[in-house]
Amino acid sequence: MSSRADIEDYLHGAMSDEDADGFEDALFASADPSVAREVQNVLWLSDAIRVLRDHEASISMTCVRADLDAFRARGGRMEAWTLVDGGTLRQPIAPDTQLVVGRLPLPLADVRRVDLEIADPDGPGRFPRVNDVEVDRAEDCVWVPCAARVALASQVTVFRLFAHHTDGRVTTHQYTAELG
Amino acid sequence: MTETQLCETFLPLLRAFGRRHLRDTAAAEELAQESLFLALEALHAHRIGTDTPLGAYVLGIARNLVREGIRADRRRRALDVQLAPFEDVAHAPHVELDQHLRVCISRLTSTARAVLVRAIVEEETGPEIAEALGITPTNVRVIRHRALAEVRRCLQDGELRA
Repeated sequence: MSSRADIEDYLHGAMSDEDADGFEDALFASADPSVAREVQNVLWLSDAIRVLRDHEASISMTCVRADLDAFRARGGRMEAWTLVDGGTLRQPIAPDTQLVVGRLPLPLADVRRVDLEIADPDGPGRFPRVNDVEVDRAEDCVWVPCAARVALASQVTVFRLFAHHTDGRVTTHQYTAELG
Repeated sequence: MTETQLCETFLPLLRAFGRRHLRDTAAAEELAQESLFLALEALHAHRIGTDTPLGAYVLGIARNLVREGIRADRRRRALDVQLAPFEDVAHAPHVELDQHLRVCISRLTSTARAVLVRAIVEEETGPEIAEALGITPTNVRVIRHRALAEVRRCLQDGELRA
């Protein structure tokens, strides 16, 4: 009776109050453990997304300054590191920092799209490359937020940006962050 | 139904009920635990007959608490002990999954990401999101369903979570 879509509609305000009453009646009357697991699954993903935004300023790989301002306004403690194209930045993380944000400078005037790869220094990408990430054209950079505990566990992280220019060229830019 | 089964089955439903009616995660959790506590208490006191529909009974408790405006801190300590096994790790998102989840969400369109933030983090309704993004409520619903399904698929492909 309760599809995942129904549960999502119920939870996320896409069901009228009248329909929601009927949905609740049926949901509880069924007392079906498999439905309960499905509800739990929907709640889990919602919670994970909410926690992600709360802990890392953004739900995607990159963010904009407004996300960082909102994070600070919520009381979050963050450090912004400006990395160098082709270079390595060595820096410690303050003990009470919750979020480290890498600022990757990149002239964006003739760039139509930027892809991002995060890698270990001597290995392949930690994750599949993410295409067409959000960039900050006002500041000519890409902001990459990372929970401090994740950054601490990583020690050295390599960021690669693939800039797709309007003339068809694709240039690669590499930035390395190392805990000092 | 044993107490364990009652908790496993109704706690998620009560959490969902609380989210829907209170739009506040902490308050919803409190409502869910208080409702469950009262149901267990009734069960212990044999106030729920064998012919009483248990689901309707539990739902009735939750609805009454919402009407009354729950505040039940007095029972929380006892309940915390009783429900400890059900505060399972699956309910609390793992920080280790954050990066994978971010990758999955980053693959969505910017509109889909905006819908997820507004629907899930900001807890805006469909019409509110539709107005803000200049699309119809139906579109919001479709985008949200597809985005969540895509994120689930992405997480499963990475063998991160079923």
